[in-house]
Amino acid sequence: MKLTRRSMIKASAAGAAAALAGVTLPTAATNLIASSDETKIKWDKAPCRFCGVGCSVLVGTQNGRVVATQGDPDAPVNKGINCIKGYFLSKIMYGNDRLTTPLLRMRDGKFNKDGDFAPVSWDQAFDIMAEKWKAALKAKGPTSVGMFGSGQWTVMEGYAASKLMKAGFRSNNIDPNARHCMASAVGGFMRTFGIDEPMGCYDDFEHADAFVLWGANMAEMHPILWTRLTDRRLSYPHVRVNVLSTFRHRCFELSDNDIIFTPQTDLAIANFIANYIIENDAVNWEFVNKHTNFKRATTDIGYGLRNEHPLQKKAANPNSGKMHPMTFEEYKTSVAEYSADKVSELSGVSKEKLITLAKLYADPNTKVMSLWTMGINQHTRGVWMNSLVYNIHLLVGKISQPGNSPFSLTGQPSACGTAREVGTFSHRLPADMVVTKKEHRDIAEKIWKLPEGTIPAKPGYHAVEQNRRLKDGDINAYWVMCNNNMQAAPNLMEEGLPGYRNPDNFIVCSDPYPTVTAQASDLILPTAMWVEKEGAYGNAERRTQTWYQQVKPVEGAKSDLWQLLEFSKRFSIEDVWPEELIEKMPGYRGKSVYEVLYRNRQVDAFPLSEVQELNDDARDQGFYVQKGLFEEYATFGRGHGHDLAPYDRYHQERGLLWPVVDGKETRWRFAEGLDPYVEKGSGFQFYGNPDNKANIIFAPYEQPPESPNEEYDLWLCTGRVLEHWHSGSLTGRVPELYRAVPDALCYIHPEDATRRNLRRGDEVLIESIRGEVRCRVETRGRDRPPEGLVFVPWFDARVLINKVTLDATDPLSKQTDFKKCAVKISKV
Amino acid sequence: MNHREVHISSLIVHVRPARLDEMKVQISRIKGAEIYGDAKEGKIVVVLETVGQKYITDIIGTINNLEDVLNTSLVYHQIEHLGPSREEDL
Repeated sequence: MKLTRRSMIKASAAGAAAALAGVTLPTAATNLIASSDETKIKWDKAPCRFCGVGCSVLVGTQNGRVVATQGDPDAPVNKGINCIKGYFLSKIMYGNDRLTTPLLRMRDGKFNKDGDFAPVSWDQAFDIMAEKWKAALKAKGPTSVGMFGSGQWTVMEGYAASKLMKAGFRSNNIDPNARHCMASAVGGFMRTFGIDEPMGCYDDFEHADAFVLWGANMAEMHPILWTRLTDRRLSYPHVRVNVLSTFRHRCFELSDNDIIFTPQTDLAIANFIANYIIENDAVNWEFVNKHTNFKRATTDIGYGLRNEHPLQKKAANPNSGKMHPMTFEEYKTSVAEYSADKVSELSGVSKEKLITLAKLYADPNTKVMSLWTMGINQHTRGVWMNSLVYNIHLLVGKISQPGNSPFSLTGQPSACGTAREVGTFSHRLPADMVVTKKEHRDIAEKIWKLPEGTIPAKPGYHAVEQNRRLKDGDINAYWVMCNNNMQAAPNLMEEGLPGYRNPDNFIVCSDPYPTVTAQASDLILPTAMWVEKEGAYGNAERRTQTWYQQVKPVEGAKSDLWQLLEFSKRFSIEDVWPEELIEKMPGYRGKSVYEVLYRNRQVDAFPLSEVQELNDDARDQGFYVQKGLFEEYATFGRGHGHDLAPYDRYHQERGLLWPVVDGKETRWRFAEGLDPYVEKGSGFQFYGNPDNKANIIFAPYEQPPESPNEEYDLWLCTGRVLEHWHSGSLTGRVPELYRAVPDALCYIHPEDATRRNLRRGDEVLIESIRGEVRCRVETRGRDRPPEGLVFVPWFDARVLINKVTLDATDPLSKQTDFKKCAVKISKV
Repeated sequence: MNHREVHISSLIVHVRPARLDEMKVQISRIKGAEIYGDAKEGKIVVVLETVGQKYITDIIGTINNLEDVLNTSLVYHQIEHLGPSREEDL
């Protein structure tokens, strides 16, 4: 047999797959592997750039370029396998239209809002930015500047950005795109447990007897976890999979209990299950009595629309998150109205299916894992709904034990690590602290070595509010970094675009590619990404992972971190702080914002001698900037239930689950023997709350803000597809992924199509009262909506479905409901 | 796309165990897919070699759409720029 280079690579590829599958290969193939020289590729680990699962991949570089990727066999998350997106990671940095120079809208050699994009130097870019920021600060103060960040920022970038905004510019107008995906989950955790993020971990997949997908399409959005779930289901025939959704999707292929429900009625289904548990005497009284409180949510809270919107005016208690104590008897009465009959009628789900589902939760011998993402979070009652799922688990004590796990999944690689843990939200500080509490601000100011009163007490504008405030001209200098919010945010035509194009505003967008957002901006900054820099991400199971820089950035591109730090050098402390604040620490007089925030003998504490050979960010600053930022940030959480390991350790591990205490990670929180923070003899302690108890919070079914009517007669649900990640700005540039799913389609029931005289592939106009978009209809394929509902993914920049969506949010979490609004469809 | 850009990649295909043999036959008929091994629990190790316009995703799609295929996990992916002359490098 002739040994070609090709056959060697194929043998390596087969060997990697066989090792994971537990398959023995014929000896000829094995011999080939042994004699391979690995084709001179340098391998190093990195977490995947895409979703919140947080797979580790081995990245192969050759001659300064990424040429290969392999599922990391040592990674506990993905155990050596990849999904189709992770598979093509090697190509995301090399799209043909990668940006290599800052671009400014200009006319006659000067900035002009109506001009065309022209190349400028980084110096010119920061000059005009600083001029606009200083003008806004001088004219209207700190609330006139804003930043929209990302759950794709590294931990260090999010931390540096948050510090720059909250302490430097003294503006809380910083919010991450994670507001669109995780804010309701955070709200649910804080209200029920007093501390953010899941108590369990991915090992729950191998211990559960039943899985309940509450609206999540894991087969497409969390494919690696879906593989683990599939493995469990097929290896253990007693295991049951329940799939709840408003339309059929790929997960139904493995489902044992298919539940298609009418949008919004998940609230009623969850309350029915609680009612079933009580009626059938399945309450775990020992657990409930010892470890829970009963509370009732304030109802009729509106829909997070503009205050002048009629629906907001109509609400009795708009935006109220107040909870009231209640007894078990009162709780029992509250859920009693959610009978099988009533909920079956409301939801369109048969009684039999509802009872099958409820029985799994009620049976003390069945370990249940509940899983959800956007179906519950992107919901005008998302915070309530998160808690309603916890209610079920708490009533039967199925929590914080292997396999018994209510598990909130995430959508972005560092939605947890950066957005939530670092606290890049407009109301948060690191380690679950909030700007509204004086003692929390005091702690942050002390760690940051800043005078008392630096951080403003009032929460800033959240994501959807930022677009409204741009339109209204209240925010005038705005930086969008590491996300594509013009495509992602709701109600594009009425809020997003008018805000960016408001002549009073200057909009900056940092991105590797010319996205829809970049094109709607005034200044575009070319950005280095992923393994072009060193960084850290935190995934959905509290796993913090780091990586080293592995290639030089594409010529001209600079990391978000570099951009933030260089911009901070453009401001003296006198530019941003009032005299009375400077007087409290006169030593800062005359210093730059950069010196005060990042040369504070903490961030700059670690020398270049500790840095890898390739680390542009550190070499540009003259110190190990990633380690300094990480270590300063870590002081917020150590000893407070959010303990992180020393930075260097993460480079030796495939991540660690916080809290890391005495060098050991914590896989299950709140349970004695598994979590070092739980006291001996207590059994469980939900130590996020002062009384160590979790809250069972009753909330009723309430109507959605908008439902189909005679004219707009269909529900519209938006979402994602396997091949593309979010707005497709990276995956759309991988030819294989683009070609696999080039266009967003409108998935529609064949009867609904026939009724409108539509055939598969016809172009249609989708209209809501807010906007319209054209695309083609699909009556077959992977998604099969019921009659009365259509599904359109949002990855396609040519089918901007957010022209149609409604900017209603959960009034508590301020997260948009992208899953339901009313539309009509007609043939073009 | 460079016509000499060769993609070599490997997959684990998860099938219903009772249908393993039949699925192996069906997969081996797909051009560009080679079976390197299997396990009775319903796992098949498949290696793909694709050149030019023949895209990996098409083959994966074809495999995924076979009845009784439950899941396809991807493991390894490498892009090689190979010409006939470099075939003899080793």
